[in-house]
Amino acid sequence: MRVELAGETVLLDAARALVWGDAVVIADPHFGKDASARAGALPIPRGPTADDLARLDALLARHAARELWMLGDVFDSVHAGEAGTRETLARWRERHGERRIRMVAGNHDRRALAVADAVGFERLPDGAAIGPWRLTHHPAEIPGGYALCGHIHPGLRLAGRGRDRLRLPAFVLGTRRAILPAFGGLTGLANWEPAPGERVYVVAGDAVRGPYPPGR
Amino acid sequence: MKGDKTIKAWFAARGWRVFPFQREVWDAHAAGESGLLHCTTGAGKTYAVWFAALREALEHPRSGLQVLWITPLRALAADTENALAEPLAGLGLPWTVARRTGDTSGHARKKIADRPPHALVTTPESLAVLLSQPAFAPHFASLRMIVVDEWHELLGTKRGVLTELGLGRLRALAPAARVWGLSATLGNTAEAAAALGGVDRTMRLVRGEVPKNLRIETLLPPAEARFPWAGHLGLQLLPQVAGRLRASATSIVFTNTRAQAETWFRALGEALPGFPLGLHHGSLSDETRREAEEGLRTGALRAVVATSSLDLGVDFAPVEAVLQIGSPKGVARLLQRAGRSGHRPGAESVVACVPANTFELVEIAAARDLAGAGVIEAREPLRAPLDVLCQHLVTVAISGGFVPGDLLAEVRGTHAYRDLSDEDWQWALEFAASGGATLRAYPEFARLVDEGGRYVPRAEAVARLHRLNIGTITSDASVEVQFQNGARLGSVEESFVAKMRPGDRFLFAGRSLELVRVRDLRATVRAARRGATTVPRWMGGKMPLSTCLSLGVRRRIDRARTEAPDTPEMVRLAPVLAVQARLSRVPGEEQFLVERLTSREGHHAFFYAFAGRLVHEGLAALFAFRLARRAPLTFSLAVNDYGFELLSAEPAPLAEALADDLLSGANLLDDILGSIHAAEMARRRFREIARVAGLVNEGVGRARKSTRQLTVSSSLLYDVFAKYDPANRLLAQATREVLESQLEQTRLRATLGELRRRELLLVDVAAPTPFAYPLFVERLREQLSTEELAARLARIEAAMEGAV
Repeated sequence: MRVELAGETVLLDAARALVWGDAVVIADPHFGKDASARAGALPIPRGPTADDLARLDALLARHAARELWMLGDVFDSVHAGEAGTRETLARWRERHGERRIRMVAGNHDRRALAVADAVGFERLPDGAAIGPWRLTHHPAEIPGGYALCGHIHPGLRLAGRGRDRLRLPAFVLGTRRAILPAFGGLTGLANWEPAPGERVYVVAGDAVRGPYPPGR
Repeated sequence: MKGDKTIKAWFAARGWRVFPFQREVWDAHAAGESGLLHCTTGAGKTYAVWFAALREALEHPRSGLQVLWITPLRALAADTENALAEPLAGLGLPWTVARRTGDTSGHARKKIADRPPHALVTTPESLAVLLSQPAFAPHFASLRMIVVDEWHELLGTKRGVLTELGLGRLRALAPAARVWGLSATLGNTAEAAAALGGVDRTMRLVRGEVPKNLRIETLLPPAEARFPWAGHLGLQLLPQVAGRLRASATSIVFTNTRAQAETWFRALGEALPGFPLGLHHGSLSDETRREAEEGLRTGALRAVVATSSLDLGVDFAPVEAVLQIGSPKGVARLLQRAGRSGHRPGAESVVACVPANTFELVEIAAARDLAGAGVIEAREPLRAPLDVLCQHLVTVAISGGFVPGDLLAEVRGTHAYRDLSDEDWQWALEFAASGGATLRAYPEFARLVDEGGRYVPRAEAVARLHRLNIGTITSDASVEVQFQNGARLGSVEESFVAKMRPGDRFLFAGRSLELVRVRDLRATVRAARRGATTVPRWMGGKMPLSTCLSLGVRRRIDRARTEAPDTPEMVRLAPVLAVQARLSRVPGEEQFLVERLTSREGHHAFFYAFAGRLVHEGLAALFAFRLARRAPLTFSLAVNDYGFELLSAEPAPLAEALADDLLSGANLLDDILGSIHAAEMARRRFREIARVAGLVNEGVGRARKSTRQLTVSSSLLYDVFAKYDPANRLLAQATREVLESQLEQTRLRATLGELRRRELLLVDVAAPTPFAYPLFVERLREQLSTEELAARLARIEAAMEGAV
């Protein structure tokens, strides 16, 4: 789904990513969430992080991306440094040798910054400016640019006739900032009530639909 | 005999006589028998078994632990302890009694471990903890008697299975101990006894005091008042209930849920200013509960509003009046609650029922019919739940290790696991040891190691963590509610507090409270200036109507078509049935009524199977699944005890499906499994099973907090396992539990067969009928869809655009 944002044309991908030119932007992948779960005595198998990386591979290939920007909460916790998970991430980074993998730090990354450096993710300061964009984790309006944010894991509730109820991952596009859906497969959704002037697009299976409310 | 004489004298001094059933238990116990004592009311049960042990002790004094008394509720343990201690001095028996529950302090626990009392009162969970302690096990060897109190409360639950496994252990550790169960009379009393005895032991059935006369009354609003078709609070009868309380010296007002108890407590407080009224339910702090119990006993309180937390237990002072708010939902429950009134020998028990809606009028009339005919519900024991077995294996391993072959024989000696397959046993063993196939790669989850054929814990930490997690009750994390000065009020579920902000008001422990802050699972509150309107909801709110009673209701409605009303309830119901007949039909016992209605919401189909909420949940999902297979459809499902509703935006091919395979018994299991997965029922069950098996640890303190912060929902957990460890048998158990305990598959199959035989009445109605109305307004709904998301979104968008 192509939409206009800050005077640019961007693509909203159903893999829960925003694509601008040759850059792919994702938020909140929470790599290593399975490892944090294990550390918290929830013995989840190691699959989820590997699956997320495979989805990311496909996404980057589909758009022939040269850059990946991640809007924070790249790692779920310090446990992403657990041997198996760190190796998986490092091997993935190596495979994408020529691509720029850049990230701003989120609240979950606080104790995992060493992991970022170890696997070779390029760290940007919060609010970093690239073209018209300002990259930040917590939703905020940043002077001089249009902010791309994460943190929220927005989900839109929709209700139809016959008491049909749906809750779907959402892109929230405001006038000064956009909030991306969470990329990670083990993440949940937080209900988002659209504010006046906001366009919300939802991920419905392998398509992006919107905007909601219609006509905006 | 010396013992006999002493006991006779003790009874005589109190002006009591020994009931024949008490003597029967004493003699059977002395002859080495085990058994089950059952009766509909509580009178004399405790002393029937307790004096069997005391008589033996008077004749052959022994030292060490003699009696183990297992009670289902922690809250009852203190009362039991007191009741057991009371006759000791008068009999001149130098015995000590103590209790060991989750509430017992570390100091008291140590004292019990160092010098065990003669009689120990405990719960199934604390028994498991004791069994897990290598140092305590030798104390069990001297046991002469094991009592399982209120066995009907445990039977049919995982706690019951935990009890059975504990008894299996004790059979090996304490060969001289006889097992006696105390139970309300059930429809399957013999099976209840067998579950307690295990496969090898013959159990004697002793029937307690023949029930006194029971009168079931119904409080009704004035004839001119309209009675609601739906709702469950019953507050329209507040004046009548208040009148009853004023007219009785002491009363208990029983409710079915904690939220209902809170609401009624406040309403009665306002209706009866200055009237000494207490509140009693399972989420209140011990002190608050004890105050209510003491108040009833001493007369300081005239009435207590209570949930089932007050149905059970020894020697609560009998009260003059018992009231039941809402339908009792079962005959056994009504009899038990009624038994709290009029304890004088030969006195009549009276229970006044307070119907909350028109359907409950029929339920009360039906309950009276059944009680009169002596028909009481059965409680089906559970079969071989693997999660409880996995937990037990670790318990036994940390108590000193086990040899698999020996333990298998012991486990198969229990009723629950008598048919345990070799494969299931191997899987459970492997799971308890290493965490199962997928997790073998993670040594941190290995719990047991095989040391020369003996399974022992891998590390001391395994034992510590396991003891903290023993038990089978799972609940949402609970948040402690306390005042700023630290005074504790009780606990509410975290999900309730999570939705609140500081300054929000709610009703709890009978007070209007204002939330100050929430920190570390502790909600600090202060008294609210203005009244609160929100009442916390606790899990497990709704109780299903028993099968027995559903049948009774159907019969009542059938008779009402041709006979003049013969009870006050049916008189009040007659005009409502007339409306039903005018708008639709009143189904006879041999008919199956289905109503179709088109409203602004969409297309409704109401099915009245009268088979109880649980079976309806299964049938609703099954019918939705079968209909949605014919055409892509999205259904919203609502169920109650009388029927269920399928609502869809597009019309469903109902008539064709009814004429074809909607009610078919062919491919039933596959279709039910399909509908369970489509409706996400197994997912919700999984987390509980995972925790009981030790797959997920709740942890305590900081550990518990960090676990919760993971916010991995049970559905995500289920999906991860379904994807990466599909052979995990706990997944299969989740499905089986939904099939058996949640949907009562056997009953579902039988109901379906019966519906096929009944005459089908398919009626198009223009407005919701009295039968349909409670379903029509039900908000708790399940969804099932076979439509593409795009189709659903297109419809939602069209509706939104229409609204813009």
